[in-house]
Amino acid sequence: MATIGQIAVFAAFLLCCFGVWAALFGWRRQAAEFAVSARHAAIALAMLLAVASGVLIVAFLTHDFSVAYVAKHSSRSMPLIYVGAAFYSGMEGSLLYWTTALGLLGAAAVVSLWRQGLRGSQIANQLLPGFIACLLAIEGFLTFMLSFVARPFAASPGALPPADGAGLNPLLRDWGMLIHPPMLLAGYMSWTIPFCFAIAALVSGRVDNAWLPLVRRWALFAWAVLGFGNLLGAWWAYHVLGWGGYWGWDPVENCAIMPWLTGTAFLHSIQIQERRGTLKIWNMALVTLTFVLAIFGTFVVRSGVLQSVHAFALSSIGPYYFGFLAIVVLISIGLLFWRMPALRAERDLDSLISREAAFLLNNLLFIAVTFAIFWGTIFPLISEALQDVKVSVGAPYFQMVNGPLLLGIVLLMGIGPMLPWRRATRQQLGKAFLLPTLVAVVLTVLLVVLGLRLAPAVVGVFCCLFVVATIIAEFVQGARARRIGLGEGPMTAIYALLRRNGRRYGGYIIHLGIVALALGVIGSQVYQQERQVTLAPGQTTQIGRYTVQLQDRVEYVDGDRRVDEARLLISDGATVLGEMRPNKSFYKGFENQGTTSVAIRTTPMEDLYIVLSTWDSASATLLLVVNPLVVWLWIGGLIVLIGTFFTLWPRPVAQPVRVTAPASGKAMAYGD
Amino acid sequence: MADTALGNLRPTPALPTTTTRRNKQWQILLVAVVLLGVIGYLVYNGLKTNVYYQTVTELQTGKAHGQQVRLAGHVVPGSIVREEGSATIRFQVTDSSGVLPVVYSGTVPDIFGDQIEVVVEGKYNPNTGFVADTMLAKCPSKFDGQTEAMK
Repeated sequence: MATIGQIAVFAAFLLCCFGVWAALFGWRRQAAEFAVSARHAAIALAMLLAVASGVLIVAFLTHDFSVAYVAKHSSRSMPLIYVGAAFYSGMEGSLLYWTTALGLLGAAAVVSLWRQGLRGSQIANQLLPGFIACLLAIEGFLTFMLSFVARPFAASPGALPPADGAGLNPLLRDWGMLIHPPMLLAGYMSWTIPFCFAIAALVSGRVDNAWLPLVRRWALFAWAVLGFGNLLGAWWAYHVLGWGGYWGWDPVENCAIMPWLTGTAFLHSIQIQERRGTLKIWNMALVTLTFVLAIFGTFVVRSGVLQSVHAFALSSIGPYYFGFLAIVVLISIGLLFWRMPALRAERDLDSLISREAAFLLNNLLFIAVTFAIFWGTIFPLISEALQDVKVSVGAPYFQMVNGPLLLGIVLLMGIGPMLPWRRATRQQLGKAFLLPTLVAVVLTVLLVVLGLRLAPAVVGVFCCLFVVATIIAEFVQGARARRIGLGEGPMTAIYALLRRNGRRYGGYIIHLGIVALALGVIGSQVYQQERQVTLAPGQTTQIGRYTVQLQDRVEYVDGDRRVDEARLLISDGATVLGEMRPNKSFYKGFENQGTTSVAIRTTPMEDLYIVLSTWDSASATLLLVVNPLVVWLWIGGLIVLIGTFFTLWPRPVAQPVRVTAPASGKAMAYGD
Repeated sequence: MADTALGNLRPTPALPTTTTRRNKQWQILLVAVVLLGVIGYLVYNGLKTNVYYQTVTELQTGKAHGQQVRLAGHVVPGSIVREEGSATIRFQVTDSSGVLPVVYSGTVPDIFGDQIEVVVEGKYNPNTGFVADTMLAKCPSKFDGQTEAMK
């Protein structure tokens, strides 16, 4: 069985080599039949990889321990769903997952380009050969790794397969663990597609603005998946790991957020290129950087070069990834220089008070944050190499550096979209900003009077209120225009705005989500309260407005685990709010390792977060945390997803309008 | 890169005189310098919060007393003592050469135990030992055959 997987992966490698050659040869000679076989190679590759992945999943489900990877990552006693998840929980499997997902997404992109070409899109036809060559070259590297270096189908050592596998650590038995790693890997992987578009544009010489409408959707998709993967990671850390926080500035987390930041910058700067014909080199550089950082993230996770609490197994793939990264960077720079004359900006920046200038500043801030995170992440390596001093760069560094920069980005979210292109006049500035600024100032003063006193929070809340006010103003203005012009009610008008101009208004929804996220971060970073107490049954303690009483300590057995549980009564003054039950489980086979289960009481204003730390004969020690506004992180993430959905939803095709028909009539056709 | 990113020097139709253009370039330069200054200051200031890694031997012989440092090592088997009625634990940490007593009060990672590799952060005092305020642990895990660590 495993042999089939092995063969599929190796055949995929050969197919990649052939496909790259066919795509480039067909392009040089203008030979249509080679272009066709290159396209077929991309599709066949996806199928071969799907077969390989299927074989590995079947090996897991049938407990085929003759495959070393299966024996290492699963056992007979594991619940079936976790056996399936074990597929991507180790290095070889996650590499196969990455490669397969890229194969499928890449094939989808190839088919989409080909069909646009059939419908007469010249640019799609011109980009296709370069796109296929780049995609298959990357897949070629990955399938090479799978065939020779990190082999998921390698046989178990010894003459007979082991009777049972090693199993999965109970800490990882959680549904958050089921979806957050594959989502994050999918996010890394998806950035390959925009990168292939950029390389295709450079190779074909079509470096004008025509490739941008094609790449926009794929970039938005990758951005949303990577962002969602990051947020799921934070959610999992918060709800499962039980240390009271959601983001620890650990190297692995840093590497996951960096491509998201540069990707965000890219999504903004391509808008300037589309409108103004500038920043062409910058955009090429940004998408390359994003791809490189995504590969770097995968590399850091798997190579063990950085000290991390996520320390995964050290592995042999490090040097290969490093070499691959070097080649990607060199080829990208080479292509950029080759096409330099065609990449010149079409015009100058008109004024520093213009939308393009604000977007440019936003880009620089994103790059600054990325650089600061990168520097903090690799500083321990540099320090050890140059000075032989081992240091650790912790959360305080990242908070001190990124806090002000991120606030600047939030503020720009309110300024940039309100500014006109080219240059703004004084009247325009007054009209756009007077009211939102006034509203934000009044509300902030009100909050200060009500007790918001800490400076970072005051500044942060002001920025957030300002952005919300500008976005509301935009929606009101757009809806009013539709009401006057078309007689629509407010809800219909807002829906029509989102539906017909999803790029703009969907973007505003995304910004609203980011503001909600920012508020969650500000609240929990500035106003977090934390206490550690030891209570005997009957004793009470106080945190924030809550009174916590340890009522009882219970031990019980549930399936393959023994549970120690604290029963706590929570009240606010005289009002009883309810019971909370933080506990610790001890799974069979892992008796010395407790698995903490956090108790969280969520309200819109704050979370009460309780962890059972230790347990002795007479008392229980609890970690109590009050985390203000944390729930807005998760709500903000959902709002961002909804906004992304509107930006991706194809615009309805304009239909011949009958005067009596409602303007928002259901258009069935798709197109953009 | 900044030059090409901000445009180039070819004349564009809608531009007035060379003086305003030169003016604008100065403005852009000013913005860039201010931005770089701010970032440089933030990074420089932030890096002052670094904490140094020390080994057991370095701590016992060195001068890092009373300073916030990180210490990595393995927990000496059988050395863990939990104080009744509080969250304080005492244990000993070893690298291959020396042994150091550690006091820690706080949430202990799930996988903490004998022979586990821990990273503790705190201050060392020759009389009282190492007083830790943060603890991280790396755990032998089935996740990837060798190590996986959790907070």
